Amino acid sequence: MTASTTPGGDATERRRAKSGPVSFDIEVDPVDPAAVAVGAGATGAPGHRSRVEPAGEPTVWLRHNRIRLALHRLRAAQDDTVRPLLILHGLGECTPAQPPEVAAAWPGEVWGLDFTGHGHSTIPRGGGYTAEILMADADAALAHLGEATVLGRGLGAYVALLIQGGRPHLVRGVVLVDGPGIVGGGIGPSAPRVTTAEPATVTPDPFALAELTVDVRPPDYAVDYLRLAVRYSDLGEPVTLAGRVRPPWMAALDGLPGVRTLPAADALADYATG
Amino acid sequence: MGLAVWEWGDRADPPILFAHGGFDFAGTYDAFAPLIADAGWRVVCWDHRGHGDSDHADLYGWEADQRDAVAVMDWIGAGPIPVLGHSKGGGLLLNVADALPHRVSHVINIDGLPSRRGWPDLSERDRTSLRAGALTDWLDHRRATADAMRKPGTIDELARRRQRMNPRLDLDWLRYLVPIGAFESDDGWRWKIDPSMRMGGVGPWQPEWSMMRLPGLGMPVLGILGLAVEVMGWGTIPSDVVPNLPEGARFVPLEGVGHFVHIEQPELVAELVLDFLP
Repeated sequence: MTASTTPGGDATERRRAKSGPVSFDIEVDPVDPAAVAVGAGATGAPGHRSRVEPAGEPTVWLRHNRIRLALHRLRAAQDDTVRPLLILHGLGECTPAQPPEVAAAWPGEVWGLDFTGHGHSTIPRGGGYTAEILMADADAALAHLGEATVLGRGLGAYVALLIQGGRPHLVRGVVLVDGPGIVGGGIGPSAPRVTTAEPATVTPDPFALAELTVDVRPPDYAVDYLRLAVRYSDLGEPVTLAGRVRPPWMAALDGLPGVRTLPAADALADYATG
Repeated sequence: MGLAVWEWGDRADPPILFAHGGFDFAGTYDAFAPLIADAGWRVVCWDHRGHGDSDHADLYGWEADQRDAVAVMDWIGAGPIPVLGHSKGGGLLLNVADALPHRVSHVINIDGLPSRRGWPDLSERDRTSLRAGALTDWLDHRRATADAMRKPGTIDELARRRQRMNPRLDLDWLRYLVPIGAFESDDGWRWKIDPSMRMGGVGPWQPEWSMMRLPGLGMPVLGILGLAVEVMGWGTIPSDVVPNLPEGARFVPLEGVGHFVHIEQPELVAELVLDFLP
């Protein structure tokens, strides 16, 4: 991101100390957020990547601080007594138009959340992404859905673990599958760098791609969330590892109490009845 | 997104970039910055995103703050330049100096060297309980923050509220800061800082991650540490810092001085800084 300099003409001088100071305003992100704000209705807004909406299925708009999140209902319930399934997409992805194959047998409603800066959700100004903010995105979806089981893909798998620990009474089992952004930025601070990206008007937000590939995921931090899930959830095994890739944060969970390894469809069938 | 940038001194003088601490704003340098400006420096400081007169951002993060610092350096245009940071601003500029050594000529760090000290050594069970409470609080806060506003009050009330976090600072000074860092509306004054920001967020960050940027710095380094323990400080002691100092670094621990070293002792810190700068 390059600062475009707009001081001078419109600078306001405010003397309040011996030698000044003088104030200026600089724009660090020249994109007008209004140009990328998601419009009303379920079909998105100008500037957003088109997404095929399942006919007759609603999109619910949620507010997470200044961000407007798109929560898509992908399928109605076949059995109203079963809680919803919430799908969290991978880094750079968005909610698919149809439930993935592994979720085909889920008897309750199937919903998908577009994370901040993804799909139809708002592109924030000037980045600032963290996995924890996406956890709070998922919590906004839970505030709407109530108790849910979560299927997380890639980055969404990591966020699913966090929200299982953060809201153990609302999340009834998470299934973690392979997908973009599953690795993150390693287990400790990486080589020094200042991440930059060009502001965009189309999702996924390049700042999300830049920042969420360097977000640090220490194994003991992931294990803390597992411990929260185990201690406060009444499920015996609230976390299911269903992918092939085992980045360090996930490898640290493997074999611990509360974690099992099972194909995603089998795990979902189990959580649907549990 | 707009960042408010403040200057003290003559624009023709050589620039030095200041970074304030978390929950502060550029105006908190009003006692100290003029002393540096009077000695022939153009002091430039921005209000961090969400702080002071800068825009309230949609998201906040370390990566974004670093990028903002570099945006201000780009705006200043010259380089490499000396940088001075207090507390969070000190840690931030350590990262920038480590990442972009060609942009930074000198590093001055004022009580911005986090250490592990002061962090409780908890049992696994207690740690889980503590994290559960903090996480629930934080998620509840995120659910409610869209409509949040800071609590209004008189100038005196805001000053006294701030004194709870800055107990060593003089009440007259804190009253002076209110009209700069707060705005007035019909029901009173409110601090400008984004109400969505709060102390003690959640995340994997560990304090020593900033300290580990220190040993590799190749430019001259001056570290100043206030040794009086207080609520906003890190509780870092000299033996945490000394092994991490790069070759030739100057390190000045100050007994009886708190976290806001440059506000408690502006003349002393200015003397140390001006002696260090070329």
